[in-house]
Amino acid sequence: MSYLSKLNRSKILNINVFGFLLALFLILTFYNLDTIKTGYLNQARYEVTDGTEYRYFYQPEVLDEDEINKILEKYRELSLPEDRNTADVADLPALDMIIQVYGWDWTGIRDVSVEQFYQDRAGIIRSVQEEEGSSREGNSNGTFAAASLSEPIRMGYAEGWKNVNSGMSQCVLIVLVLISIVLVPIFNEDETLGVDGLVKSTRFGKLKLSRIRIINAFQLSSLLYLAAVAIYITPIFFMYGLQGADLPIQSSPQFFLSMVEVNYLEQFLINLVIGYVAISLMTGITLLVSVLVTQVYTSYAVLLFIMAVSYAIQMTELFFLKHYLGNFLPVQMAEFSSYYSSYESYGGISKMLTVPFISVVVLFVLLLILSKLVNRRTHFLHTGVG
Amino acid sequence: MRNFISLELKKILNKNTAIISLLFLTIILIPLVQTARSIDVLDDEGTIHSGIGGWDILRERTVEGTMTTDYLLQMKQNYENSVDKPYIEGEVDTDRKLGKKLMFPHDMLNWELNFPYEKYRVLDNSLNLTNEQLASFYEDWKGSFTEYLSNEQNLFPYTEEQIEIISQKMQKVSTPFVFKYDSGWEYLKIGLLNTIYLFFMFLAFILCEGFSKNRSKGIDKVTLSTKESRRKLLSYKLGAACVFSTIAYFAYIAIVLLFVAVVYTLHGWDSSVQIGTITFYSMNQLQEALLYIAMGYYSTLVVTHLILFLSVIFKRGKLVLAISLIYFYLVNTYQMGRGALIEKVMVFMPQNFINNLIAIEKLYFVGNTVFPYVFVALFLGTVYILLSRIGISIWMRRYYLQ
Repeated sequence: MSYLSKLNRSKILNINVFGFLLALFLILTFYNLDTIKTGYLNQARYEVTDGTEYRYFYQPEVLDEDEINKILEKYRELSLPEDRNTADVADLPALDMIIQVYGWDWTGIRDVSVEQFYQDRAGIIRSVQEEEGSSREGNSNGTFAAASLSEPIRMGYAEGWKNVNSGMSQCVLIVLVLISIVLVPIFNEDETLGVDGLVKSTRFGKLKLSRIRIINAFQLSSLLYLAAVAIYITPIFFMYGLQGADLPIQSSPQFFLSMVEVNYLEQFLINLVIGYVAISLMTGITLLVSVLVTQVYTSYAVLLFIMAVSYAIQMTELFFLKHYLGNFLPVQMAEFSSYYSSYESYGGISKMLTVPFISVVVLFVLLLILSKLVNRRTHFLHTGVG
Repeated sequence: MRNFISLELKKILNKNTAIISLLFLTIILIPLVQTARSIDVLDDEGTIHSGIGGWDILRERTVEGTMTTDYLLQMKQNYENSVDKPYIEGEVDTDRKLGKKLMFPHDMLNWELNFPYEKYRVLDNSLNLTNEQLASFYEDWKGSFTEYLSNEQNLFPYTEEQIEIISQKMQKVSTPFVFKYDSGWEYLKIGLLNTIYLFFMFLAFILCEGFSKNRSKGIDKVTLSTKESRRKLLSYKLGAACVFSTIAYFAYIAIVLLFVAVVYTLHGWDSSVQIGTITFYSMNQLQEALLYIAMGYYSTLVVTHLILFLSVIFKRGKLVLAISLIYFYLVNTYQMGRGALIEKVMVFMPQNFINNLIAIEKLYFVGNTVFPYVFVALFLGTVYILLSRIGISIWMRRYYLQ
């Protein structure tokens, strides 16, 4: 059994191809690091070249009464948004957060207390939530946790985690595409040799071999995913450091209005898990396509079709389609930031719990169908002529 | 002889081809639908409408006619009293979502009328010209090209003599123009440009196995050792592939045309091509569309040959498919890119053979003779087809399966 598994595994993805894929990841990693660096450079601050300087600018602090009023006083004369770039680098996150609460113009706002500030923030969150809820047929209700909204937010340096968490989506997308390419031929790989029929008529040919193929597919996709995370993600830590793992994600202006109460480390772990669910779902879909469609090129066309349709769903404005179908497609599942910044919910339970859970259920159903289909598939390959 | 072509064709046409065609049909429709539905218009009462129905409103609100001075003066008066004016001139803020922009029925006409008087060619869709300017529109229009071409940021800048030659050609354009609602014809060109890479991807899916080591579609030991195998087989295979891509291309064009006819309608086929494209050819929209369709067919033939050439070199269908998909995708991504290298490279891409065929910004000179891009495309295409035919016959002579 283990021998068969090993043999089959090397057949699907031999060591050379695997090495090539890893090398590809390495190249993409350097490209990605470069993109991140350019992103910092494009902020047009002469103090900042690649973002590592923020270590010295961002001090651990709390967004409390003193801090808020300090910022308000310091930049009252600033005409925003044009002059945002003339503010001190160290003040930028706090400035961006206050802008999110009070808008561009805060001439009339003075001596804000902590309670007042966080109440205003809660008010904005509530209004956004209600707006989404009313425009989307009341689908977001009851996710409001008032307690967490009044606590002052701790801030500090966490660029490593921020970049890792925004890079995860890309990483998962690349793996999704690679997996669908690598795994499609798994059930029709004997086309050139033409011995598929022969293999099927051996003792272990049908039941055991197909079971092993399915297991192997999941092994390979897990391996590929872990390798991708290791190669694509960890270099970011080497550059930007591990500091700030315990800071709440609300300390980044991007997630300032987020309702999800996690720190950066937890966010990373959640993304890792959701990413793995997405990858497994894609593996399941690819296997299903591979079993149903006997010809390799047609399978590729079907997968391309699935990708195109999920893209179209992503672009559409039909909430119904997005909410009940789009969110569960692997490509959309890899959009991690949407779990933290949107207030979408399924009957009161947040999207972050529902989507992976239902996807796992779907995956099991897929596997069940797959095992039935694989055993029933007795016809041999008829490729081509006529 | 012909029987062999039909036999080769039979290999291509099977159930899988049908499935792949259906899948790609849907994929091609996605960008078309997306372009069509991203429209916001005003109706006669001044309310904003979004979505596909907007094209009907646009067509109904267009005042059509031959652009004589009377017509232009009338249009100016209409503009003064129209609901569009406050929106065009920014007196009313639209508060639309980002990425959307209101479209007005006479945008194209107003852009055209403003052309001679607009500094730096900022696209201006208001109509605030004096009566004198409208009366002398054609003279001013014809006289404005020397200045326009000298200011144009062109990567292949024209010399002064060349600009003079072009300007003289522009003097001979037959006037007055005819203005009609012709979005169908405009979006036929845009639709072709946006989707032809998907159609080429489809061709790659079907034809990548043409000369690969494969017993079903490609070549195996038996085919190589027959009397007619090497020299003639390739012409049969090429013939079959060309027949297939011809059928596929006209089916594709039929679908795009059908979509255009349903959404935008084919109204306004006889309006002048000068509204929208700056060119010295006096054509109407129908003639221009036929030119684009013909060039699309030509680039399809070129691509067919290139795919088969790759297939005979690599002999592995999957590799050919991967290369072609990446290539078509990349060219499409960078097609609109501005930059010295990209624009120079794009001239040579078969995918680009349906882009800006007759515009005066893209003219080529041999001595004092002017060639629009369409001739360059025809020449390049012929070179590609010849080269790949020669290449295929050379590689075919030493085709070994092991």
